[in-house]
Amino acid sequence: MKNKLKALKILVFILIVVTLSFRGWSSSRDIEKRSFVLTQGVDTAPDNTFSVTYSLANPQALGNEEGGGSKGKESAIIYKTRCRNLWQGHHFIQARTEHPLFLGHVQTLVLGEELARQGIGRVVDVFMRAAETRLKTWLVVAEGEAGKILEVAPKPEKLAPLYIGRALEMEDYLNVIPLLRVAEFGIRLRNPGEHPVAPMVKAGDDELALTGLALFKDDKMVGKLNHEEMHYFFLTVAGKGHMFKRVETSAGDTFSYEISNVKRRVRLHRTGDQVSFSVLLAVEGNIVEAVTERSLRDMEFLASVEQVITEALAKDCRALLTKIQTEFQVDSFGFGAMVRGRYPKLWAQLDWDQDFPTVPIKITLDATIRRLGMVSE
Amino acid sequence: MSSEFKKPVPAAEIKERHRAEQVAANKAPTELTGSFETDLSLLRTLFHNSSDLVIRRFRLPIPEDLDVAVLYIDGLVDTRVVDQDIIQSLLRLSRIESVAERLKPGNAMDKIKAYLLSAGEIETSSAIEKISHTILSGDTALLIAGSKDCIIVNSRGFETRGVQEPTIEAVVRGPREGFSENIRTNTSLIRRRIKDPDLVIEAAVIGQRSGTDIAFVYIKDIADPQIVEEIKTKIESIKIDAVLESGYIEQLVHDQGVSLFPQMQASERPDKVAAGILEGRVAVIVDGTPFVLLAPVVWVQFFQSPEDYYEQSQLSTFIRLVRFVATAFSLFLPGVYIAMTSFHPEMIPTPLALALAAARTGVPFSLVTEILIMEISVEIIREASVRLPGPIGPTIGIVGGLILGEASVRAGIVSPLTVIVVAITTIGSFATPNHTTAISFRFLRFPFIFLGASFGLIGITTGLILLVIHLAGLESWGVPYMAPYAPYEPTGQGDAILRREFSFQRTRPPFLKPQDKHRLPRPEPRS
Amino acid sequence: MKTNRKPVTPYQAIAIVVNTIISGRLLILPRELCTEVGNGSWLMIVVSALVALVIISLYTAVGRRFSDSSLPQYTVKTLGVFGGSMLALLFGASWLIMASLSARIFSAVIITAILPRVPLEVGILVMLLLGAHLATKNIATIARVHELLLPLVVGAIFLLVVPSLSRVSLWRLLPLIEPGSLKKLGTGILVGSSSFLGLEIVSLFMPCYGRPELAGRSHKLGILIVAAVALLTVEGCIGVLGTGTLARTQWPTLTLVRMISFHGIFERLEAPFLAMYVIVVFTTIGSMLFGVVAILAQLFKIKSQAIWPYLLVIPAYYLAVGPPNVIAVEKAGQIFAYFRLGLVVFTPLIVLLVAIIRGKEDRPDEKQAEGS
Repeated sequence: MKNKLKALKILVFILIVVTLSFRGWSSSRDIEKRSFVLTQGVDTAPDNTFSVTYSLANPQALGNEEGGGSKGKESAIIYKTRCRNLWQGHHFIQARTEHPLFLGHVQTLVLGEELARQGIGRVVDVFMRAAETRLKTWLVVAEGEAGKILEVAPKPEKLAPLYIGRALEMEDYLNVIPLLRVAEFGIRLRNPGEHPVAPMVKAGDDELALTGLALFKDDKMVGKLNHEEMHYFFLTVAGKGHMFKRVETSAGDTFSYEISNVKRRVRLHRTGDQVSFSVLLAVEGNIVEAVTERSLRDMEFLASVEQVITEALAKDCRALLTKIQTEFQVDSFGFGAMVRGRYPKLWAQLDWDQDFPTVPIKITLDATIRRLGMVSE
Repeated sequence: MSSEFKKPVPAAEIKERHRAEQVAANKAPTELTGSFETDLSLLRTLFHNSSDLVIRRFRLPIPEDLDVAVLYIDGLVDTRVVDQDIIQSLLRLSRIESVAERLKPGNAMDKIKAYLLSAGEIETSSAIEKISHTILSGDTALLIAGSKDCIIVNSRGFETRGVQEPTIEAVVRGPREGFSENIRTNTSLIRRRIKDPDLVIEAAVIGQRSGTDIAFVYIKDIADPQIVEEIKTKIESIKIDAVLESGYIEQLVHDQGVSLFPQMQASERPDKVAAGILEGRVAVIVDGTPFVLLAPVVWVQFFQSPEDYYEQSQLSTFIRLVRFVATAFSLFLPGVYIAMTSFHPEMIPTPLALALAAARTGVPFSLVTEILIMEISVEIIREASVRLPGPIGPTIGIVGGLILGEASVRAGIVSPLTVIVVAITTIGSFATPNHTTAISFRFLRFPFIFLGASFGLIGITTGLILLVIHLAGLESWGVPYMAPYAPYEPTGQGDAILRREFSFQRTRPPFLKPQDKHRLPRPEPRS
Repeated sequence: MKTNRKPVTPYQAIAIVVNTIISGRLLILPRELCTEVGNGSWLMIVVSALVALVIISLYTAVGRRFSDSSLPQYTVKTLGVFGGSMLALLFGASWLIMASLSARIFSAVIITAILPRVPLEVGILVMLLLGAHLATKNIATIARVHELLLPLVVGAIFLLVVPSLSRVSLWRLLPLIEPGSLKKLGTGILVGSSSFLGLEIVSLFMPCYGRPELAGRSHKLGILIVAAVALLTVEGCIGVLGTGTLARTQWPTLTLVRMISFHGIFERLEAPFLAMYVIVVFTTIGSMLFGVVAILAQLFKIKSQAIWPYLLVIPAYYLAVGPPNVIAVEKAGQIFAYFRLGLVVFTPLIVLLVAIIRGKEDRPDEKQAEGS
């Protein structure tokens, strides 16, 4: 009796497992039967529509490399369509491909500048809402049209769509800009006192270049920083900013200074209902080029050079700050979040977007020369 | 609360009852009668005039001609013992005058034992069953006219394999001796390692027809008497016609329903068994097989090898972890591979994912089919290379594996990564020191392949949970199978997956409930 | 073979508490708290942990007083056969609902995040069947399963949440308490405390504790571990996502995991995370279904439990597929949690009160009589 029950139990168990397994089985999909989307580009198009560009990986072109003879094959295939919303575009492109499109490997999301200025809330929402897409995707704004960026095939990269991501990772490695991914963008978009930024990319004939930074107010792009301003921006906001600064002293000597390390401190002051900030930047660096008759071993001279460098850097930083505060009027620095964290009651009364342009922000910069390189003077 | 299983013994029981009835019907005598000729014919008919039964009759002058017969089975005895220590000594010594004088009065039996027999181990018995069993075991029976008892002389000396290097449980560092088929050799191998009078070797016989000798070996003041008692009663109550290998016992004492995991550990290494006995386990030696059983067992034991204790503890810990990882690979790798590529390709780094996709384009089968084809072929090659005659076995294995793998990739039937996965899986399964468990894990990877192909990683976890439930429910003679992890015992951790220094393993494994808990003395308090 | 009547060790007691409490709820808890009290969520966890410590002390006290009875037995002993049985059945029903809700919520997560083409029902059935399978085992086995899975439950959460802590921005964690959020303290604590539900399962295991004198310690340690895990998760979510984003993230803990990668090997960790989370949810469902089985078995004196616990899957399944969508499930879950919180808090109070008034308790001689 007991054995029979046990047998019955096992039988029913196996039956259920098999039934459930078959339901699961049907949902599996072998890896070669998916079309990997590697880059998505979104632009505005006339009549309130989007122009969506997908760059799909072509594994055959990658796999048969050693076999030879397939060099003519493109490693990435570009599809373009016009649509009312992003998913519609997805389906239009789907209709033209052999395998189901797979968004799990989207490396870069490229947005056209015009679209960025109109607002990209819809695009980011679609991206954050979908589960298949990755939050580590790079989000960049194209100078001009996003579709163009996708069509460029940079020479060094075997697989063109991976290029932008690799380049941005390299910039992080060199301490130029922090990693800016779609998750970071989406998070900043929704948090009080923060505004997102995104790197800007420009397409050349067969190369791509990082040209600057797009500043967003909520989901709308309001300003553009050039490459140098971008350095100063990250110097101020994140203590990053590996860069070279050439200065000229009153005596006509010129020096090039390489920033190697930045210590950043931000102080928040409150007087009544008025807040103010002071940013302290302790910059360390090395002399990488010197055109002078005097020896840098002379401490006094060294101090005077440091002074010149300090002034030059501080001037640029202040110029950047003024530009952002008065021209773009957006708190890309995240000062608002500090006010919120420190004085939550005051924050509730403030309209930060209105108040930010008039908030006094003082930048104090102090540059020191650490090393002179392999030459002693 | 756990469901209990009926033991598969009824058939054997019925048979024994049947046999007892027959014996009663024939009214076959159970004792010798004391009449020389009757007894001789009785024994001869008992063995059905078997051709290898040797009966040598001769006469001794005690006090006059006394009929004496020597019975033994040709081939089971050491003929030197029979010739010199029995026949020659009886005939020669009885003719020496000084001895002959003393032989005159009194009981012939006592005189023979006292003056004439030079053999070492003797006993007397009149029970036919006992006599027949000892003759069949290689002893020599000495039948004396006028006596109801018969002298049994130990003359066992059949051909056996000597002590050779163990083949399955090879180690790099450690003794090269392995158990052999002879139970006495085996007990001596253990005895030589543990020269302790408390080492108990208890004999028993199981198997109605095979009459296999077995021995329980344990240390009286270490092993938990309850566990010892339970093992003894359980094994002695086995009713089966023949026990040809210790695997019979291993399976017959299995009382927890279906399980792929052994309840006793089989080992052919005397050092391993000795270590087990010293920890408080009971060894069961079965005559006729070099595989000695150890009980109770716990799960982690199957990842331990005796050489772990011969090397530095840090190295051993590392090697144990390697084994553990290897086993995990052999169990999960194909399933996880399927799950990752077919369900979660987003997990794989993009360049690798594209390379995988590129490698698989042109492969006509689905990934599961591909994996199954390869796994089954590997199993076939493995099994075939075991069966193939000695020297060419490994060669064929390598040739088969290499050529098949290479050719199937070339032919576009499988993708290269599948070959790699299957190869790692197979090699990983051989890193488990215990043969039985290795097979269990190899078998279990098939369910994991199906689960991985059905629900991806979720399916793998589902399988893992079922496995954990199963393992957690197992007990080996009252010792939880997953000890010392469940129930967690801090003192047992020194020798589980980790192997700590000996100074951290002062105590014997607590889950074996040893009477003498300490392996090393407590450290002297520092003055 | 003789079976140990008191096989549960103190370690296992910790594991039972932790594994039962930590459930699929942890995936949504940061959002639930954040929408109520914003940055002050950590305080809610701390206060709720204290509340939970008090509640579990009540259960420990009752369990120590009735050292040989589990929940249905001591409710019957104190409140009479009818009242006691009804109360016990209420517990059973709440556990059954809890199991089905957990299965539903978690299946929804799996299907949304990693297995989009698997039907919801299949996910629910798999989870419930796994739980029911555990419920057919005996107490010693269940305790061991919990013990073995504890490192995976806590370890998985730690391993996958801790790496994302490097992304925590200090300013998102501040202010420590938002102005005005204290008005919602009540709801916050209710939400927080209800996330500690499941601790009442110890009432079924306590009579089997090998060392009941250490029960209090194990239980408290269990609650503290849960509180640490919850605190880490909630603060991690706030620090990384910020309150603004957190309040509109469906499964914040999962989003946290989606943002990290294991460099060079795994680019995304949500599949392994959810695979490990199956264990988390399984231990909860298993405990809950075991609770139902134990109550039914003890009330109706059923000896064998080899087959019939599987039948519990049927009502649980229909309960689970009932609600139309994720929002309805969460709403129902919240209301149900408040009801359950009341049940869990008041039952030991009443039992203890009645027991003291009527002088009821399990005496050692009684224990021996039962044991023979």
